[in-house]
Amino acid sequence: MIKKENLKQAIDNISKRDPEIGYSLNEMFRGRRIDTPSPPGEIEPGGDFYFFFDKQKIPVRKFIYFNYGTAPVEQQLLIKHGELTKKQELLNRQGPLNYIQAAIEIRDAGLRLMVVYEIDCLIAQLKKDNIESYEHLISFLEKIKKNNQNLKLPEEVTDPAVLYRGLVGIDTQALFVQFPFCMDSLMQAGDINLEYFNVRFLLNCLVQGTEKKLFACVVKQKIVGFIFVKFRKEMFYKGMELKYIATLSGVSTQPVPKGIGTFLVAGIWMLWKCKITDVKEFFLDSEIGAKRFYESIGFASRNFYQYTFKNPKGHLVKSIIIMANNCKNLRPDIIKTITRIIKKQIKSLRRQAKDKKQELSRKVAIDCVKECLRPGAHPEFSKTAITMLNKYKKKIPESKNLIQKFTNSKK
Amino acid sequence: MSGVLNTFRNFQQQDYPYFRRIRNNIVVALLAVSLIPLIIIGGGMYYYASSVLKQNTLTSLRTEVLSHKKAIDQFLAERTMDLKLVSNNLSLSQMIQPGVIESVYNSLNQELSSFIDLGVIDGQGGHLAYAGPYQLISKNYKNALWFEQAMKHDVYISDVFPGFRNEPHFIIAVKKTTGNGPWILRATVNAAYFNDLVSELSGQKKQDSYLVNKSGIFQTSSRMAGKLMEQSDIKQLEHFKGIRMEEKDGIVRMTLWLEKVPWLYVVEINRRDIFSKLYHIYMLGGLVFLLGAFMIVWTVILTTNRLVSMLEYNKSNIHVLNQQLRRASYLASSMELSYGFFREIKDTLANIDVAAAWIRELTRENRLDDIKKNIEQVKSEALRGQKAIDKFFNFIKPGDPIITEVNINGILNDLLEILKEEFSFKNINVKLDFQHDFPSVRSDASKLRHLFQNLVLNAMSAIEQDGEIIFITRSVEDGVTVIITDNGKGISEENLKNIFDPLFTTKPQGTGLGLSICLNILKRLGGSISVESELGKGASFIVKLPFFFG
Repeated sequence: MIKKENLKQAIDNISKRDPEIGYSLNEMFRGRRIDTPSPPGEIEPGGDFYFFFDKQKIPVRKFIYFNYGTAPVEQQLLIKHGELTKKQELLNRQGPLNYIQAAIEIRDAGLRLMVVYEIDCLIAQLKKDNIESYEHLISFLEKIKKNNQNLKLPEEVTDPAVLYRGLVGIDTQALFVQFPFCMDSLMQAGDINLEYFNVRFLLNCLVQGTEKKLFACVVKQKIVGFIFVKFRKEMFYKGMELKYIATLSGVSTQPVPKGIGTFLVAGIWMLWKCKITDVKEFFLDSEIGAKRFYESIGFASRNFYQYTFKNPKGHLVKSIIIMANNCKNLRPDIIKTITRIIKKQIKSLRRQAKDKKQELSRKVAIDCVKECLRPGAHPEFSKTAITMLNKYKKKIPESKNLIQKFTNSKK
Repeated sequence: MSGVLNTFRNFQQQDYPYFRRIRNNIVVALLAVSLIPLIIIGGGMYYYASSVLKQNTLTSLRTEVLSHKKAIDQFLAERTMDLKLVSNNLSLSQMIQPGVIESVYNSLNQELSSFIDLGVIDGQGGHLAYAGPYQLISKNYKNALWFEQAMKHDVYISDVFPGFRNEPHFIIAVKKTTGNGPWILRATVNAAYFNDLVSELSGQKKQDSYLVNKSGIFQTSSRMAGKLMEQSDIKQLEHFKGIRMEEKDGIVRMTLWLEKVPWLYVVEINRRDIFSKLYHIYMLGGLVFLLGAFMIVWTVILTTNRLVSMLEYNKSNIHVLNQQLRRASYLASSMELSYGFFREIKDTLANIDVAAAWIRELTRENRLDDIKKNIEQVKSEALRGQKAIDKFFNFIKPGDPIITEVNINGILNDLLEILKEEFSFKNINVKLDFQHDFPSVRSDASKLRHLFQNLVLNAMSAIEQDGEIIFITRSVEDGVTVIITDNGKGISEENLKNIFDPLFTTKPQGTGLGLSICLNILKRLGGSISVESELGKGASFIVKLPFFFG
């Protein structure tokens, strides 16, 4: 829980770096415009902590709070202070106000202030460490701070930062990208305030050289989810651990397309198969909260605390097929692996559904087949699907219809 | 500059201390003052009590061992006395008569079966008479060691030996000399009985006590150290007086020589068994100490937590009250400020009223051009009123505490504009001596408005009627200096010392907060305030503000 003292500590930390902001926050804290919940220790329904800024509830993610101390509190205070300053500036500005535009400007000002503050903190730390190799990093951070136009979120599929393209929700285009470090992306990360992926963590990835293991799902130039992997190396073993994953689902107040988590795992699966082939297995440490999700996409529990990836299942197969369909120059061995998965999916359709769960998984499998038969699908996948459907047409009642549709689309 | 910054930081820290840190310090201090004496006194008492108890336990054990040794000695002495009595009262010829020795044997064992057998042996070692369970009548002891020794001494107690019966035993022999030569009355001591006597040290169940001879051979069996007639590990068997005590591997060994026979009496007891009661006391003491310490820690933490929480809560309330007080004072001064504003509004309304009356008259006469002119006049007065209201509210509305670029001359001009009517009403002449070419100051505009408002109202209140206020702004090395000088009553030297103290006032209606708030604001903004005054001649308030905040 956040105590008054923690708030004060966060404000004093800001004061040390920026006395002007520190003064404002101190004044507001003194006047209880920044305050802790009463009774103390009260937490958000989701288990997160919060405090009040001008009577507005400001959530602080529990995991980040425990890992980074008052850093998330500082970040939220900076965002709110930036917003307050911008609000004042807009009120003092002569002429009529466009309220929607003003709201966006206010939010952006807060987020920008926080990101710049975090970058400044990091630069100061790097300069203090005085390591030669950091010089390049410092200049890169300066570029981000100055909002260099070369650094931006990918807009088009052709952008080299885009690794894979797929779909989330019903039919929303989504991009699987290596996290693009730029002012906009960091501001978005600060705005969505997802568990694990706070701005300080993201910037630390740059320092630790783990930025290449950080990926995001981008929908219409908005980040909707993050995934971070870690490699575990032993003498004759290299494993890839799914360290953190977080999506906007259940966090945002706005409607969010479904299947972002599956999309991110599919992206990692594609990476594993296409680019990091020396990795023997893909696993994750205990994630009791999301056990059902992991089991539904093909993870199987190992020991008491680990899940290992066995074979793609359920929606993950569909996501992989869509990503693979959008890929040019797939290696033959990957095509083979995916066709094997498709075969398995079609074979699973031979069994009739006995309950709702089976019915649902059957529906997902049919969706996967449909993806293989869609115009523009990889010819190898379509061929495999048709062959298998023909083979089991007696046992799969939907096969006739599926083949018919495919034939019509070919005409 | 750095001094100002440090003052600013210190001010912020004093303003809201880290209560958890205070709590930790209090807890550590309270625990130290309560636990250290407890440990010292408890430890001292523990050391003293345990030393006394140890000493007492060992003394009582020593007494017990000594008395047991005496009992063994006495047993051997009594048995020897029995044999002496028999040999003195019965002659050899009587002893060897059939049935006599059996009768003597039975009589000796009547009270205590301490002998196994009894025999009369002549000077050549041959058995003259024998009573006992063994067939020894035909045996000759001429070459036996005990016989040799018995012939030399009148009384002899042998070491344990197997003898003709091939069983470990020892004998007591009494020599008697008659006209026919010497003869010996010999008795074998009941080994089982003697063993029990030696091994059972009263009160010490877990002990091991045994006898060894000069060569370290077991004379009685030991529970732990070895069997009868085996070689023991006891060395250095020179004779000594009293009890020797030594400790090895947690075993306390006490040794002492018997008086009647050259045997060493050995008692071995586990240290834990000797001090078992003491250990129980230690455990109990430790438990009481831990419980006490736990209660102290618990009480200290609980009460400190409660106290600090109350402190934190109260401090927080004080902040809010301070804020409210400041706000109240600000509103009070704003009310004073509003007199001029209301007067302006009143003038405006009066002008509108006159114009409206004119319009009514002109309407009757249908003079449209003049009506239009008067309507324009009403509109212009309404606009003037609106502007005055905007200016006033913009000035007094509490802004957010944000550091921005502040134009000091601008703030002073805005304030003077609001007070224009009031100055004219009170016939106060305002002189401005502004320097215009200095940069803006990074500060909190709303707090500075409050600050200057208080100072100007203070100057006006000092003048009351007919006077002059001079406003000077100057750029100095690292900031701006604002001097507000009035030619009012001035401040006495005595009052000058307390003028910035909270609740200090010389005015009957004053709150005594105005100047203390000014000081407070400037401290927070990194500035300073001073005053120069001479009674009857007026006062000058000098405000210094840095260009850059912090």
